[in-house]
Amino acid sequence: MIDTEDIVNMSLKKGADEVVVSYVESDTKQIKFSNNKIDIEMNYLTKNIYLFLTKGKKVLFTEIQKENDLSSKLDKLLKILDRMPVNDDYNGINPKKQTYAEHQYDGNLENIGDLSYFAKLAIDGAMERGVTRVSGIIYHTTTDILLSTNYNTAADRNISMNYSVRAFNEFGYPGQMAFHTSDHRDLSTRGPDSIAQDAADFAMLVGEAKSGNSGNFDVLFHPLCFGSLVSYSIYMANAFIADTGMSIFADKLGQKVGSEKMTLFDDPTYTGGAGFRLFDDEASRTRKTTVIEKGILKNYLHNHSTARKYNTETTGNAGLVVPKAFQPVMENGERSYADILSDMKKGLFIVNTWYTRFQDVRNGDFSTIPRDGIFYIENGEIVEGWNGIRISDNMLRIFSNIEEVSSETEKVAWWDEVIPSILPYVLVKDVKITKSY
Amino acid sequence: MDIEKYLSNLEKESRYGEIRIMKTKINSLTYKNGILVGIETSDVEGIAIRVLNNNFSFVTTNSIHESDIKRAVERAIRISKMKEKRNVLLSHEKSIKDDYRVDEKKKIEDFQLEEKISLLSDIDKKLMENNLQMRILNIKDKIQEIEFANTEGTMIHGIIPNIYYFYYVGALENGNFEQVSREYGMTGGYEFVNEMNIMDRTVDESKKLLKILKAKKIPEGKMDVIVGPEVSGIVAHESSGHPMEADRVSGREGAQAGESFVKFDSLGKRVGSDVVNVIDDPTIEKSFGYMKYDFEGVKTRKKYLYKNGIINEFLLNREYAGMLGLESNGSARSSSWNLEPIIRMSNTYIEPGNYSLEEMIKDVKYGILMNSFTEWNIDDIRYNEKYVGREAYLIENGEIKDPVRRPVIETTTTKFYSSVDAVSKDLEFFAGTCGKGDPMQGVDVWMGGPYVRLRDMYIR
Repeated sequence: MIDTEDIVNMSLKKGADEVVVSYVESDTKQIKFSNNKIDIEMNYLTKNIYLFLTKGKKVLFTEIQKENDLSSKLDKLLKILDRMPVNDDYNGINPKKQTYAEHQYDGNLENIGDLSYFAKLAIDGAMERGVTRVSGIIYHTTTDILLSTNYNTAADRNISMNYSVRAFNEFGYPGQMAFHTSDHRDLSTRGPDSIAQDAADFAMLVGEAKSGNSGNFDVLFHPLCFGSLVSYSIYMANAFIADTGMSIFADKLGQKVGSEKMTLFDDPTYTGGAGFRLFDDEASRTRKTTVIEKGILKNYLHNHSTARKYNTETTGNAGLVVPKAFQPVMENGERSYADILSDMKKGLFIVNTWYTRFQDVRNGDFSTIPRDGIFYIENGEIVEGWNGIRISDNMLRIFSNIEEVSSETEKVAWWDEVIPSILPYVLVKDVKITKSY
Repeated sequence: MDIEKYLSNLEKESRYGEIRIMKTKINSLTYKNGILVGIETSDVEGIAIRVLNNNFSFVTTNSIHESDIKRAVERAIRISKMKEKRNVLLSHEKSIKDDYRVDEKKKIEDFQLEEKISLLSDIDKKLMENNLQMRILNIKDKIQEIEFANTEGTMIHGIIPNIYYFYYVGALENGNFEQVSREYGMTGGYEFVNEMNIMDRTVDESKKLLKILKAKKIPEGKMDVIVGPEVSGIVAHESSGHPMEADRVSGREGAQAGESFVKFDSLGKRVGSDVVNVIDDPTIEKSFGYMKYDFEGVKTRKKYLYKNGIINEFLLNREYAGMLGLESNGSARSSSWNLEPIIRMSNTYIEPGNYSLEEMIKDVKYGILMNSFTEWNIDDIRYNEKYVGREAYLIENGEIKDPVRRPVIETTTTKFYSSVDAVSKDLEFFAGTCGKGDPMQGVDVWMGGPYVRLRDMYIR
């Protein structure tokens, strides 16, 4: 085990003003399957020391592997700092003494056995629902982190699982579902078999998808689909990005950015999710931060340095240079999604989306490509599955047109698109749908 | 690390085994609105072991302790003997022994920190002088040392340096906003700065935003379109390169990046007009996607993905080449020491033709010239795609007229390539970081092409 406090002290003695040292040891197991067969099983074993040094408002970040030549490495790094210009935007790491909540990782998730067992559960679970092909990924990650700064030392162990399954029906059309957890009880209620069954049920419901229509539609977003919009948007609520001016939330603190139905937090303290964090990258205690409250932009996500620039307190979202969201949570509503859907006269229910890209990151014009279950609804009933459509709209307009959110929430996390989130189904009126010519 | 010692274990215990040791040195500087945010520097190495018995296993460790490496090798062997069998036939390939290094004219280690700082600072000042208020600039040098050995006698040692530069600039006027982000990259050393002329390119391209802010939309409808190299490059990458990755075609990427509209029996079928040729070529010297050998130790080569408008050749690694009874064409890559080699592009481009841009414009009665793009996306079978123009102009009666604001091409792959009637002599490349895999692997690529004319497209 590395003594991070020793490295902090050594760095200070050599002339650094502030130091953050984190030692991260992780063991990630992964299994990948497609066409109903396991493709590969993987295991990543890593031990990393991350070092953040500042001197006279100059900032340097590095990763170290060989702790035995640390002293000479530090001398070199401090010489680099001497040659850098001052970063006037930099305001230090959090100097306040922190106390941390009690956190006990879920020991029952520690030795869950062979991932191929879960892969088989997922494949069989989906196939039983009538699909012809199943693909997916299952991760099991154990991370130990020991973090020291000039002012604080913190340690924690997290164990989590992420899994996503995509199932294809006889016509080749897919359904998908993706989940995250750090609570072993989820394995019996929302395990890979249950997630796979959801994916398969969506695929079967799509049937032989018809080419969709363009126009303006009310859209009921599945939490997985809305998670993609939230993930891209909440990134722009970090103070570093908002401060560049290239963000839908730039210069909008205190202003309306969504409908009254929209209340969005970042909540790394939510236990049971893979985004749980006891402390951030500068050892600040994490907390639940309101980003949007009833449609009003309340806070950016801050580390200590960005918070000082904005004359506020850190939100416990360091990233040492760029703050980050850990686990978005959206406040739920009162009615079930089934009730919301049954009241839709004409609209779409969309399960997933990908490739969200902005043509105007400041004003919010963007498009994204729905996939894995696009359903046309008339008079509260699913009429048919669609494909080949695109949402081409404005993110702030979509947030402002939220009419209702469901009483249920789901844990969703998928690939590089959706960070671990806990979200409801979201009904948005008048969403612009386009298609290819 | 003694690679041969660990290899001998694999030889005894596997149908096929490989060990890859990668050392990566990176220095990266980022400017944000006139301030050097910080420097990121790293020097990391790790070992990846891939074993095939009943199935593939892949185990990685960055521990330098012998016991940890031994444990990783043993674990890889154990996992590969899993109960669930899969019939994997690797293609037969020549074993190779080589030791090579890509030259740097201006060595990375000789290019001083002060020179990097003054480069970014000068670019930033020029942008600011031109009233471009929002600016992020990044320059990164990387030296990658790869040692690869497999149980079939291949042993390759290579050192590949490269330089990457990225800028992201926004212009705001009365609430109206335009943005540009571009990437440049080259294998080699800091000769990159002059050869790529990044200072002038950044300033010239960013200044255009101020004109684009004043441009107006044109009425939607059918018209001819000429797309520039930045657009033809992204089209080549997204709707030729990705759908021709054999692992996508097979469904291996199904739950993430998706599958493909191309099937294994699509070879020989028409996808575009006969002037369409799309190439992936890792052998281009100095290119950002340069590879002498791929990450399975196979010698790389140029591939025609689409030839004369016909689906011609898949991107293959040894597994899919073996499945199809072919030889690998050297398309396996891994972005990091700890990630599995998967099928990837390198430098993907539309092959130049015989026209000059002037000739192509002259023959357009009503249409647009779309030099560059901002938003783009494509569906997960690589068929429905969208490109929103950034710098674009109206063409009337063979002449370039006023700038046009954000024209939209939203079309299909076959419609795009089938509408091509002329391809210019030019060829320009842009760098990019191509994403695929789970965990996500971003690999260095070039995307490029000539000016390409499309007839009778619907533009919004």
